[in-house]
Amino acid sequence: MKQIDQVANGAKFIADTPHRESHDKCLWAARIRRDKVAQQIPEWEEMRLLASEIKKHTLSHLDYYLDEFEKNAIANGIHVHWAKDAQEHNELIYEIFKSHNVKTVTKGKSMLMDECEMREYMTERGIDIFEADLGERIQQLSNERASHIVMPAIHKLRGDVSRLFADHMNSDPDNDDPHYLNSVMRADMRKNYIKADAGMSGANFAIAETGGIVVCTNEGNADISANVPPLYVVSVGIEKLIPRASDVPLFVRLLSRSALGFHVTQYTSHYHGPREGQEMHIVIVDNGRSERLATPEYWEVLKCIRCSACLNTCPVYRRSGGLSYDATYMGPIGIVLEPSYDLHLYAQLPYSCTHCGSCGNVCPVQVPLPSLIFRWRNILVDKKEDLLVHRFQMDAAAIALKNEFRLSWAEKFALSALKNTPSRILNSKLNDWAVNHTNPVPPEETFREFYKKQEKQNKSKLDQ
Amino acid sequence: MDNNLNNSRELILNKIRNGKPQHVALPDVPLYAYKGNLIEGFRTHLTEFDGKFQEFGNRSEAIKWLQSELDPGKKIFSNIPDFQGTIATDSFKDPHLAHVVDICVAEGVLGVAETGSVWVNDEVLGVSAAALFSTDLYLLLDRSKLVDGLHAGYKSLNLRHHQYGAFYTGPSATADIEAVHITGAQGEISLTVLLY
Ligand code: SF4
Repeated sequence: MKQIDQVANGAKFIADTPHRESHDKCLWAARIRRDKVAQQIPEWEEMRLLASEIKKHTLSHLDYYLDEFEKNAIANGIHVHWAKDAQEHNELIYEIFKSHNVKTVTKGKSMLMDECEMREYMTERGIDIFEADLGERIQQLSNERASHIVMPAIHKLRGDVSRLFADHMNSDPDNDDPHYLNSVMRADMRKNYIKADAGMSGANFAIAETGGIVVCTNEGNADISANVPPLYVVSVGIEKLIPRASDVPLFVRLLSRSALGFHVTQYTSHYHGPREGQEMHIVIVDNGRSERLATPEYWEVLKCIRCSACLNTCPVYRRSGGLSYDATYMGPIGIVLEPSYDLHLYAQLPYSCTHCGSCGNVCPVQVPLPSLIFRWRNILVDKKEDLLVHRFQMDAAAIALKNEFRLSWAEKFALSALKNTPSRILNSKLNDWAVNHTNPVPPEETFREFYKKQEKQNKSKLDQ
Repeated sequence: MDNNLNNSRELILNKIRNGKPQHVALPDVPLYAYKGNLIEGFRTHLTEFDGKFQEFGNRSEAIKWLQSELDPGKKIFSNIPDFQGTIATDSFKDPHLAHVVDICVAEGVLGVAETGSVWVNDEVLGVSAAALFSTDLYLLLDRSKLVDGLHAGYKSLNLRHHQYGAFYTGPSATADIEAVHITGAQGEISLTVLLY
């Protein structure tokens, strides 16, 4: 059966130097900005801890908060629906659209709708969904998934976009100025907004206490989609709940600073009901989340607020690009989420990690990403879903690490192998590590030998 | 709601009830404040977000400025009582029609020094779509409505009182192509705050 080979997919992206370099540079810049703005806030680390505790509290009483949210949302005049999985989510929204005779929809970004493949479902049934976020629109026109949670087309270069827009929007194929391309998008979307029968978006937070949602965006597309058409449909994962209105500023202050290194998003918008003459629907979606909640040592993954900080900092993600994961979610959060959707298909993803630990350090809600990655590797080994080569390496490591004597023997063996193996073999394809590296010049002795010698010398000095 | 949907509600809630982790306490969120000068902080952060800032001694000076600056040949939607636009405020029963708006003028509810944000809602905007479709958005703001940080801002708001309420921070923007920052994406292209 098919498995996603992130390493092989990533290798293609790595080979494409201009794309890789631009990608790496853009994301690292976001990471640097994040550090800068975080350092301006003395309470930053305290806020991360609070945000984590509030999320944990909410998850530990999620039935209560969902019920409270529903009650309050209904009192605000919002229609609330529940979908156990992606299929039900899509069917439900299709029914709403059908009963309102909807033909054209403009849509803000929603990872959940991507997860449910909602757009594809509607398109097959004759409903035009226009992604209204620039990056998401670029990806829609390219027939690709989003490659980043908040910058969906960040793996592309301006020339790729100018060619794409020329093909689909009759723009000038030779003008690749991002300002020009943005104005093409603006003009094109205006045509769609004017005829939109419905608007859609995801939500960053759902406030139980007030029965409303918070949507954080930059371009204004989600606000237009919500405020112009006579119908507004929102999808919310069950994990998006927060208890109180007074929790909102804490999360808002963390979100955009973590994502892109800006204090806030240009639009931090709150919807607490339909406007006059409008209908508003919220679909509360499970799609595997309640199972994650019931899994000890894994449920904290539900704290994630989809900020992308872990992507921006991940050395594997930055170099191999989001499409290499061939999944809705990518980067560190992707490799810990995706195996829960399909263990076999995504069995190799938890190995796309260097264990640098950076993701865990930047996550604004302290999702323990590094230990969740380890957890998957354990499960994969138990279920024999890991690759044979990984198992061989692990078994060998297990034998070597069993006791000190064996380990010191293994060190000596490895050093002598490094010294004595002909470089033709050492730097060949047999050694994966050497694909992008040359092997180091072998030292004269192992560290253990060196340390022992030093210790002896120190002792004899002391004895003198 | 038909039975099927009700079933999913129960199904999801039951799964949560049976599987949720043990109780974790809910901490209070302190009112973390922004420590700098309010007007200075507001101006700095607003302009960092490419917003424009104008300061006036009093409201009538701000209105005079609007009268002299705004081109009466443009389609102006104004939702403040002391400045007349060129479009009647009841023109957009269907918000789709608001796409013709060039300039929108409205009163901000409060401003946040920490971020340079202005809170607006469906009431002060009149027609929210008019602000979002406009090219140039002008928000008046009483200086006594400045608060230090977002925590204080939310504390003074009652979110449930308005169908739509938002912090606008500078004009719409995007960085989706090679992370090149572009001011003026799909919402308003310029945003000017008139502090009085
Ligand atoms: S896991 Fe943390 S850092 Fe990664 S997207 Fe989620 S909230 Fe952001």
